[in-house]
Amino acid sequence: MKKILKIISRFYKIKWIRWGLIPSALFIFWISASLSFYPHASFTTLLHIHEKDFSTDLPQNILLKGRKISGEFKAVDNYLGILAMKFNIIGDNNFKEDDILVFRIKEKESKDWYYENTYKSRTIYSSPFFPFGFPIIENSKDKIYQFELISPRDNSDNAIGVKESEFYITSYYKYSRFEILSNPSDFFSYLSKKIITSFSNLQFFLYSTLYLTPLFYYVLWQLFGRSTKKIVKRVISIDKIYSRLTKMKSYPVVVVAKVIVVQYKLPLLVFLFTIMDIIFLKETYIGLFLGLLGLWIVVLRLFRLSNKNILFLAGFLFLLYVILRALNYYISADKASVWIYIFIVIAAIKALRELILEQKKKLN
Amino acid sequence: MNKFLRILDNINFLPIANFITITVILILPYIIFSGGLFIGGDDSKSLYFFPIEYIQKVSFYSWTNFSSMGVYGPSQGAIPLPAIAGVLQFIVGSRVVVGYFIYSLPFVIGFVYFQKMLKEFISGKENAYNFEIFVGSFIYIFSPILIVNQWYNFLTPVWLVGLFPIIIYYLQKYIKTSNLIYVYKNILWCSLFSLTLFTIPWMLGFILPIGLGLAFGAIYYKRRHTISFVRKSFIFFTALGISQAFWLFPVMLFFYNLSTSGNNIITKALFSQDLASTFELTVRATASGNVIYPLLNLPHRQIAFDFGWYLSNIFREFYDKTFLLSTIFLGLLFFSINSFKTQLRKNEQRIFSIFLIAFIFSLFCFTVNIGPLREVFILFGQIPGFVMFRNFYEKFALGYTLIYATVLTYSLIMLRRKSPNFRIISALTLLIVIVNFLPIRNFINQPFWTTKNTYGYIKLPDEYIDFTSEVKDKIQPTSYILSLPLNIGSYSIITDDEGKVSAGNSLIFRILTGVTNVSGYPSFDIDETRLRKDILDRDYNDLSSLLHERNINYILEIKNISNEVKGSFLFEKAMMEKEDEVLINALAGKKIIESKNGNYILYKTKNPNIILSSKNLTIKRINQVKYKLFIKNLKEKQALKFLESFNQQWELYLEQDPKDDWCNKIATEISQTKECVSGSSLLEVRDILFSLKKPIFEETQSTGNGNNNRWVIDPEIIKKEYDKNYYNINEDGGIDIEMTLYFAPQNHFYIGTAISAIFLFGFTGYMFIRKKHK
Repeated sequence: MKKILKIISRFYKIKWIRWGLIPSALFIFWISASLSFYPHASFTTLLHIHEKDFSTDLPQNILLKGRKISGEFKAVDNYLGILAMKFNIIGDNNFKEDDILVFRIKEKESKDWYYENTYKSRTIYSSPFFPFGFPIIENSKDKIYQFELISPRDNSDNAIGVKESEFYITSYYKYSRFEILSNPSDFFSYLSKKIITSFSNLQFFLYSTLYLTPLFYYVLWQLFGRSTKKIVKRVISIDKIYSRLTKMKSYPVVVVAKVIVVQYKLPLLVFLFTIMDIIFLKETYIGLFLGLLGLWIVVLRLFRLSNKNILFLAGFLFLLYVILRALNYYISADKASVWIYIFIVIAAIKALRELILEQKKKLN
Repeated sequence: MNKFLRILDNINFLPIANFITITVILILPYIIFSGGLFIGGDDSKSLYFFPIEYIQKVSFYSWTNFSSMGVYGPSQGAIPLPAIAGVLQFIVGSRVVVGYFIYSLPFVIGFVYFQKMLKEFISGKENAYNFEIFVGSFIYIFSPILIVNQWYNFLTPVWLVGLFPIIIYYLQKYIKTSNLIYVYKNILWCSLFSLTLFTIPWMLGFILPIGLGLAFGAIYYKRRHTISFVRKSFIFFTALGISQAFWLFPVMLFFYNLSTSGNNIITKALFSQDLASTFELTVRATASGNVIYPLLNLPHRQIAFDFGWYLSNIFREFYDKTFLLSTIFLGLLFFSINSFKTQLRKNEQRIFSIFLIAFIFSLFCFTVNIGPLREVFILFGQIPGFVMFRNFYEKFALGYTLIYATVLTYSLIMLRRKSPNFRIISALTLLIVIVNFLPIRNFINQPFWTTKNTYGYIKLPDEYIDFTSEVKDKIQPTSYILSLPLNIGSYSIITDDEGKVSAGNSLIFRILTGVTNVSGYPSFDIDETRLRKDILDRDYNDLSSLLHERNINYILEIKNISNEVKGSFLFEKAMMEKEDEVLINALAGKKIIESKNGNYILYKTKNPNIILSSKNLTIKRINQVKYKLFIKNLKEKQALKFLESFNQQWELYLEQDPKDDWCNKIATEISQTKECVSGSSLLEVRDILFSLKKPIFEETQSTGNGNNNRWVIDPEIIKKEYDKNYYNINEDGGIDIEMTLYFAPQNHFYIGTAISAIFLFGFTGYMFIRKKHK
């Protein structure tokens, strides 16, 4: 075991391995794991989000008899096979009287519907981002398609709904494995397309941060995982360069502000990221959460934030929680509460660690 | 204000303040229940009002009937407390007074022992922090989290409110002094509240976080201290375990028997894959709260709204308005984390650290919905047995409240040390705790679930008492009674003269009458589907056979259930529509009893059965686990049927000098079997000898019709293997035999009791000699 560790540490000391091979491997892990494990599209499926090129006819945002969700979109690739829509749940979804929905799709120029099927509303309740599948259209690229979703019943209890401001559709293009693997150039062409379409999708990117965490933590470790003294020296030198570059006549208030910014720019930035995560993202992305947590650990280490400061941050987030609750931003408020817990845990761990160090000091 | 507090200090106000608080806690049930009984709910709470009857009919025996055919289920832990309650009832002469006293008791004990526990944790002058500790005990006992989980439910785990501080206090004392008197005192308390020691999930709800705290906290102690702690804890808990043998021994053997029989219901319940998957679903559905409300010492808010609990009204009307006041607890927590290194002494710091770690873990387990940590909790569901925490918001609530109250008390003490002027914050905290406790009456007196105007806490109506008393006199306890309309949970539903309703498990009926009341669809366990089908299809022939097979010989028609209750969660509309006069006319025969206002009518079924049946058989039920049998003129093999759930530990023992002089009066006679009027003896000393005797015909025991017991009685075996004094030979060659049917695991209780008694006597003697020697 010792021998193995020795070999590993010898390899680790080689610069190109530390700065080239390992980060590259972690980068490849990020890309490949994200593409492979994304729950909404398999590796052989490309997806494209359409945010504006459709219309809806839904007064009160509920799909009842005589109303419809309809629109048209341009297929960006061949093998169109799924159209997914984001719905809102209306009513108490008690399934006593399931609503029936009819989905249909056709090419704009065509007179007849290419595909039509009925769905029970309960299936949509179980998956609010619902994929309507249809037989794959091989030559769909650049063609315009029209779709409709109607409800033949007038069932306001179990009707589905959409929020027009949040409604969007996603088209899916399902390639066959044979097509992708037929020759290396096709594979690389598909791969580049897959990477571009996937990573240009914000949802996908946020999801992928889970697999980005190892690379992110590795980089943080390389940058800040040294002894505190070295880090402080590095920060001071960065600060010096910064102040030389920004030398100018300043009023005292500006100087103070500058000092604060220089002194606390990283904590401020991380704090802002945290606030943005709380307010703007409606879901919790584990990767993003872990990334922010890593950044906070760096901030704590670098700036030696006292428990008082950490608890002050928690107190600030509590105020934010109260405001968000008052404004009925429940999801954001819940996210704020998560960070309050994290800060309490951090403050407690820090205090307990200091207690151990003090005890050791006394013993020595 | 500070001056006032200083004056309080000078006069040592604590005994007076404690006296006033305890008096208020004792008076509280009179205010909350206004003279009504708080019976009902999952455990019926009948043991507090009918303690002696409860021991006689429920907890004394290892074979119990809960609205269904009997099952093997030892629960002797619930003997000591009802026994004490019985003595109190004898002295006081009022069920209500004793019942209310018992309602207050866990909170009074918790209140007192929390203070004792905290005093052990704090160094310095003995009474220096009396006020802060007093406020801390308020935070614990009057926490709204406890209102929702303990004051309101008052199920068995409520005794842990007092027992946790007791155990911690005596453990701490024993570790400090090595004096065995504390082990002894702990044993006495735990024996009194032994009914609660089986509430494992709630116990673990405290033990897991505090165990984690201790594991990490060991870093702060020298190795020899840790070893000493482990050694003394081992002695402390081993002594406790041996002293509890009277209930622990039968329970351990119960689990052993289940595991060897391959029918381990509890193991299946805890470890099955199905439950593991429902664990995830349940956790995802219920983990909707966040850490804020527990941090403010309030119960989770969101779940109350998600599931339409009455608590949502209390939030809307009260806690939402006191939300900002409650932020004082968050402030105290922050202060304690920030200041414990400077304000606490070395040993206090260590203990605080243990509670702080426990607090963090406990808050997580009590909330679960903490971003990605929710997935971690769901992952815990893969640990065998962890499914018991699927309603984490309930199981971790008590442990969390105790741990948080301890942390907050430390915070108040730190504030006091920082500056005596900060004691105003303690006073403010006390005030806020009192304010947040105010909705208790409103909360506990909430309408019956899924109704709007039906309330609980009834005064048992005379009509019901007279009726049950008549049932007790006229009906043999070996028969079962079917209550109509049937409900979804095997509840006994009692409506009082004011229209208030009690719905609790049917133990209350059994306690009052001695007869088991089959009152719900689940009472029919494996036959539930058949029952439902028969009722819906109006297949009364099959339904009559089903009742016959299950020894249901009477039908009780309850007529005073209001329409609102009938429309509640308790009843199924479609089924109830078919449980009408047509059904009663089809099944019921002669009317046996009608209550004075006609609300309860008892009929005999048209096709009654008998608990034990065979040719030329005379039987007598001695008690729940023992029957006497006499077979006259046994000539050839004949079957003996016993209509209780199949269990191989029902054993037949052949008696010497056979006679049937124990039968004083015949109560009923069905298909060549005479049933004598049942006996009422709790136990006979010679029962213990059954452990040494060899049972007979055990290899012929099999399931009879469905899930019953059946033996083949063979005269040749008796003649061949037994002495002549075990049977009387008649002129025609037939033999008369006497047998006892006995549920063998009952003896585990007697053996366990002997172990407990010997240990306790020995311990007492040792303590006495030691004291004398000193």
